[in-house]
Amino acid sequence: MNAVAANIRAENHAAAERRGWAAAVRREWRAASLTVKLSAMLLLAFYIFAAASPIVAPYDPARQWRTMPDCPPMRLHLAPPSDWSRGFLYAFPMRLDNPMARHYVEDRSRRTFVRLFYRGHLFTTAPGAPPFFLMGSENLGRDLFSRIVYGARVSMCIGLVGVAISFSLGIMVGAFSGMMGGYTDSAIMRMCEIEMSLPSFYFLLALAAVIPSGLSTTATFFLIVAIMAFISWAGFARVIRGMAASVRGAPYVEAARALGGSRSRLLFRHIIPAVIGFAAVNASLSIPGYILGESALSLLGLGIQEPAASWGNLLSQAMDPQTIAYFPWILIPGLFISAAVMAFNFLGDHLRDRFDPSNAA
Amino acid sequence: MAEANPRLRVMRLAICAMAAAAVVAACGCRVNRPRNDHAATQTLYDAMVSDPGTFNPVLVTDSASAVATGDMFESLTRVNPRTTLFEPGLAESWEFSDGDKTLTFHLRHDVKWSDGAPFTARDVLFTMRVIYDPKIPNSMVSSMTIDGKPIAASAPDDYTVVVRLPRPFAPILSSMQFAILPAHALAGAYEAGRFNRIWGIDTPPDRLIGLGAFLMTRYVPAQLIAYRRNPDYWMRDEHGGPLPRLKGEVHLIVPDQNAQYLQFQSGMTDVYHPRPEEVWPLEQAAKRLNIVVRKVGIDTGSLFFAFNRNPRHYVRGGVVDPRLKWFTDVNFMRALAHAVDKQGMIDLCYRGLAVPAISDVSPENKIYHNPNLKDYDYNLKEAAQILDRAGYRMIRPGVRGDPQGHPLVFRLTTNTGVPVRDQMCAIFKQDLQKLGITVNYRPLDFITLVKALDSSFDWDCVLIGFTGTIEPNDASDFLRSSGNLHIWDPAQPKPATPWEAQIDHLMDEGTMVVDPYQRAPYYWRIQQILHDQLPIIETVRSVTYVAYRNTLENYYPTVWGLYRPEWIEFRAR
Amino acid sequence: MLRFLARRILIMIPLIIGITFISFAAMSLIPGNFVANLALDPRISPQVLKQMEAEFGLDQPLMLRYVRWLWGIAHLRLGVSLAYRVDVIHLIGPRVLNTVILALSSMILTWLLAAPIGIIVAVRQNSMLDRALSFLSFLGMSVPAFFLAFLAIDFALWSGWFPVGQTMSPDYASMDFWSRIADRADHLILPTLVLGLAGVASLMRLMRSQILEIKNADYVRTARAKGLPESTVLYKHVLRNALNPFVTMAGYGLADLLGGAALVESVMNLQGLGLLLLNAVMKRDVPLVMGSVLMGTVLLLVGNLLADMALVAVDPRVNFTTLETQ
Repeated sequence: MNAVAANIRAENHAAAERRGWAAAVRREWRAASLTVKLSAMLLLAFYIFAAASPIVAPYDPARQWRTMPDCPPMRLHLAPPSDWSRGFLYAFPMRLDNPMARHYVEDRSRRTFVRLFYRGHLFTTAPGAPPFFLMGSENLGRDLFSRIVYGARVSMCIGLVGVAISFSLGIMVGAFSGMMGGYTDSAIMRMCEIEMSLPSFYFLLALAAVIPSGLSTTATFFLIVAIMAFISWAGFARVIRGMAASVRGAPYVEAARALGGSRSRLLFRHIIPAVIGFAAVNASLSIPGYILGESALSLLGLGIQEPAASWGNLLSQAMDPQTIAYFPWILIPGLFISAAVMAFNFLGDHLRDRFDPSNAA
Repeated sequence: MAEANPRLRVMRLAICAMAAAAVVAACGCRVNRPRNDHAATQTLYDAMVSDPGTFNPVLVTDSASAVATGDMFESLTRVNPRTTLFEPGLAESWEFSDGDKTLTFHLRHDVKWSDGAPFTARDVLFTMRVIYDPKIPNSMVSSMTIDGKPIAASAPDDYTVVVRLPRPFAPILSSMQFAILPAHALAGAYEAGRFNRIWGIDTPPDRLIGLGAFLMTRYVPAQLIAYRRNPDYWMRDEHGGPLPRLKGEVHLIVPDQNAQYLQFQSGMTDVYHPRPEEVWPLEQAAKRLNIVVRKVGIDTGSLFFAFNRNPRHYVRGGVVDPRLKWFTDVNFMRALAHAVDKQGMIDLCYRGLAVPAISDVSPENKIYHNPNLKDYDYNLKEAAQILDRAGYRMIRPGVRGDPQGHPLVFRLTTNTGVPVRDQMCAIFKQDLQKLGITVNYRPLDFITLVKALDSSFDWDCVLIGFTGTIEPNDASDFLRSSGNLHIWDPAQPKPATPWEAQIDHLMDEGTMVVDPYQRAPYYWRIQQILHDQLPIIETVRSVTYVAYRNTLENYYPTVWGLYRPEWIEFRAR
Repeated sequence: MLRFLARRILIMIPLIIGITFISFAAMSLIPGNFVANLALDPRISPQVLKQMEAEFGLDQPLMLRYVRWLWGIAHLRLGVSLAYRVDVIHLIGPRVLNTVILALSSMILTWLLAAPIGIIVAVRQNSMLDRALSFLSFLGMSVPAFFLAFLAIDFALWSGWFPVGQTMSPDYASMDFWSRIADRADHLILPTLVLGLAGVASLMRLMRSQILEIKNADYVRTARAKGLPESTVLYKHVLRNALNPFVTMAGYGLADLLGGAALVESVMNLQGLGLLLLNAVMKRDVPLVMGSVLMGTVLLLVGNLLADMALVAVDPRVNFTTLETQ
């Protein structure tokens, strides 16, 4: 086989695959129920939040309006056509009426125009104008919606990164263990059992408290994910190992071995591809665990720290019943968490129904 | 195992479980919780945040243990929280003689321990021996050590204690404020070397022998500590009536402040110290809840940004980090002082219930607080001008550099778990950003922070608070250049700057004068120096409030503690 | 059966050593030790801190301290807490009881709700009821337990029906036996609901899929073919077999429950093992941390063991020999 031919074949193959992917996505989309479609769209929106935060968020998430702490969400009004040159929508600015109670009144004499696609934002107000808080402000007068949008970066990525780690770790260890069998297998499985018998939450607490201090927020974030992944890979590895062990006896693997395939070839060409579909479905189902885990850690003060925003640490402000009672919009990040988790659950459940061989019945 | 009918077994199990659940649910719905009538039983309920660590007053190092033992034991003198001056306690009088180098205490004759034994000078001497024992680590010994030597005490008779000092030492009255132990009960255990395990929290309360206003009756870990009044307490009211007037006290152990707030609202506790955001709702609900909300005063502590000027942190391999230059440059520090938005912090973090802090001594320390300092007002324009004039110019849009052209970037930290501190740091960071100074903020958990401050010295700027006491020499470890808590450059072999040498000198001088009013000028001068040199930048002090049942009488809280707590009682209905 | 028990308990020993060593090493990796709690107290001099370090043996090497701790465990001594100066068992005992009560009661609640709902939903697969309950269960799975706990506190506050926080009333000690039980139950209701409801959703989903799977199994088809009435098939064949995995689940579910309990405990301020451990880690009270971790591990292992034994009791196909060879 000469190089050119190989090249052409590879290109054809890639094109076919592309077409195949597109077709597969279209087919899946048609097969999905309404809830699944909605979930997929919701997750897409959240990932857009994460990827394009500076555009979606109307303001800098760190900007403080120090005279407007805990301001309630503002209502949007449609502007009369005569004002359309200044913006289609407007809100009445809020004025702090009782600073001790943080009670606000609308100032009906003035209008803040909210402009769409303005100054590089999806929507925002003119530079000198009073702010428009779509979802209210938090206790330093920062725009809650902007913080939620930026918080999506942490909260939506934590699951992907965590699953990527535990997925690759679990699949490698599990497939290797299943392929080897014998003493190696049982030694590895005993290790997994230790891991699974760890009182995981307690252990997580102990580990999260160990994170070294000099690290940046990003590094801390990755360490937290790594710890969570480290705690959860073992169960996963066990399942994969079971599947790998059953594949090991399958005729085509026997054949590959008889043909003198090396161990690593066996592992990567035959065993892992056989279990990967199932593993992927399982992985997607474990994403919500990471989102919830992050918010639980934030709640205990061990998660993402203050200047950075995550949905968990935004919600942790609601820890105090006072805040819930007087500033209920502080619970909004909790809705985002629940929505994301629910969407992942719907999607994962759907994928399992369609792709998990053990669920074929 | 025999195979009976498995299905039946499952059914039976399920039925049992259901029945159990039903019983539990039914009980739950029918519990009639009789409102414990605190007024009728004259028992005051309040909350504390954590379990005590010990009931042995000498071993106390945490505030919970101090609260738990506070009412059971007493010291020779006490402080009147209204005047901040000393008053008689177990000693009915004392006098200085021999050029203030001898202090004689005359003990009360009418004090009895709860097992009936009389209180005598022997108890005082025994307690001092325990405190000075190197095998018994405790928090009293350092304040009772003068120039590296212990205080010599003797007892010419059972009711006189004579203390001899190597030199006049003004803080001696405050040093002698340790809780007295019963020698007759503990000497045996002490001689046997068991003192560090004696009177731990697993001791049955009736084995604790006290002489204070209250005696412990019950300790349920993680739940409560209960006390009854000491019928033989020595103090009498103005009509000769017995004190204390309350028949009992209960400290509930409630770690979570939110839970404390809810319990106060539901009437489980009678006293509550609200956070700033709770003051307004409590005032609104005062009538409905039958409570009084009262302002207590200004926080006695000090909360400040400290800047690391420790050469051990900045000089690595002969290269000096530019940050050392910035933080020792008084112009740079002055600009930063003008960038602290104290009013913003007061409004945002304390709901307006705080005051700007100017000096490191709280205005509540009426004698030693220097009222003549002029605050650095929040003015970013002025801050920028000071920086420009001192050569810190903008090198790029939004980035300011030092005269050598290094961009101004430093790290800021504080301890985790205190939202107010997070917020204050966020405010400071934002304002410095406007000046072109980048601050990387990351809070650390308390112990990690302590390690950075006292051994690795790896920090740039920290927001940290110290509690305040009336005796100004208590801050010695913080103010003296040789002190371990001299946070910006601890444990210096000799003072690094002339003004630190001057503070050391003033601290020495200040301990030589016994009269508080004559002492005060030394400490005023120290506050002025800190204010001018700015190794630390003060922030704000909260204004504290207390809420209590309106049936409580003679309840006079102050920032230094309750005034005449023995007089507190519930009004008869 | 004795052989089985002996084997299982023998296996536990290396497990416990492994887990405790990891925890011990992790605790030693954190900068600072217990004594650092006091370092910022101006009343305590560095010499005193040194004395304390020596008193607590914190200046010794890691391995020595671990072996010494293990030696204590072998003699059933958990060590002395640094912060409280008493045997760790005095601190852990009452908290373990609270945590176990909470975990068990919420487990019972979860089962009582999840099993019948799961059955109903499975029997009426794809009906409106199924869809509605499935949707609700997804909703339930998506609401974090601590979020429910917030709402529960709010509800308790608003209604005044339930005590807020704590596991018993302050005057508990002065009550008679029945009032004590009632009082504890009263304090247990809200946390149980919070923790239990969070589990209902996932357990119900599992129940449903389990039943659906068995419904199509060969032996069920055979039973139907025999002409047995549908209800007999359902109760005798389907349910009996669908229940078995749940018995195993119960043991492993304990881990989640203990974890979830820790979080709910800290939000609702209940004196349980989780809160104790969290504070101990913060204070670097190593003996207390180790004691709590050990307790958690033992609870978990014993839970698993009990679940396996229960499985033998209910499932005729499983006996101790098959469990051992598994």
